[in-house]
Amino acid sequence: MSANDGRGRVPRRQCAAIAPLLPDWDLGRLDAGDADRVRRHVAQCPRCAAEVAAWRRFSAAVTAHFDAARPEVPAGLTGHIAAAVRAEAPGRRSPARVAPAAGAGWPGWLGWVGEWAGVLVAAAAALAPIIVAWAAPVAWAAFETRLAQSIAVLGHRLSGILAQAPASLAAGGAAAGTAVGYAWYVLPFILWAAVGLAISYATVGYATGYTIGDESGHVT
Amino acid sequence: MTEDVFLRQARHGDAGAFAALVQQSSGGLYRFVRARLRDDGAAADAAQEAFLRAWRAIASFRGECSFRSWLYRIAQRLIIDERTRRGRAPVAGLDFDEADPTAPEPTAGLEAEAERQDVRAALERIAPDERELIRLVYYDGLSYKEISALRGLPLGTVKVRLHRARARLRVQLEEMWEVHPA
Repeated sequence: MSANDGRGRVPRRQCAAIAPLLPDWDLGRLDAGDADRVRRHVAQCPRCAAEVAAWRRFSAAVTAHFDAARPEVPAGLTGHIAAAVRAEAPGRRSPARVAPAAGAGWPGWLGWVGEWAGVLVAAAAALAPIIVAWAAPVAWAAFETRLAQSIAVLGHRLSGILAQAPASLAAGGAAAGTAVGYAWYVLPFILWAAVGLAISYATVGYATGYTIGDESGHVT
Repeated sequence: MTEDVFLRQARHGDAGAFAALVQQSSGGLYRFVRARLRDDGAAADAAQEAFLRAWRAIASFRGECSFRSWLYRIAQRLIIDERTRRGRAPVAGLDFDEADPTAPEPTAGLEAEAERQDVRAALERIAPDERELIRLVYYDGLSYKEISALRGLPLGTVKVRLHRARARLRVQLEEMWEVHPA
């Protein structure tokens, strides 16, 4: 793509996009794509070429200032530090838990949790199917037993109530007959409620060990 | 061997591999600390302490940033602690002034020394945090990613702030060059 407008001038909007990259281009700090874009633009744009020259002078002056202020590293410093590191080495196998780095962020115990969290999650994930496969049939069999007991007890009581109702109401004449008809009309709802109740009792019984119908208070 | 190999071995407790990292980084780290503490002895002590802390915590280094950024972060904390201990409140983490009485004597010619004084004066005229960014680039030679990790700033923020700092410093410098043309 040509940056030139055909009359030897480069549109200023292109310069505005390139200008922030010029100091880094001069220092060789741009990635290859940006560097190539800047190089092609600067080759055709006298304004940006002049800017590069100004940034070059700036960088040279600042770098020279800091170079002159750069101190000599004391002789033997590196060896001294390496010796200090080696002196700490024996018996040191878990350095992260001994002394977390200053500024490392997490306190020591949290760092420990973070370090082992992955292991714990992986272990839980591996064990979960085994536990479910072992426990689920046992739990379901116990629940089924409780449910059957509850339905049997409630069914027995309900049948007793329904058996008595027509006889007692028959003496009441037509009104009683209407009541019986009404009772049979609502019977499905009563049964539905009874089944729900039975499931609830079974659930509570399973959770607490109490068996409905066992009025002695015996807990199984 | 590369830094990655030394790091991997050091994380497994290999003191020799860590010593190789010390060899690579100790000069830069010492200069980083020395420029901010202005004391040879304190700088050597802080550099050693930074390496020892890094060594003790090397197993927790996950490589999210470069080893140099991580090491300099440890050193940065030590610098702040030392400056606080001296009773000098840190500004924007790592303030420094350009008038370093312990700086080496200039060995260059008069013209170069005059330019150095211009740069020093121009640096004094910009904000401390901008000065520090300039120093991290031109003195310490850190990459923008490393500065981002060291200062805890997004990479884009580092670039924008640095662009602003450079522009301000250049304005100051060019004003001086008009007064003292080369």
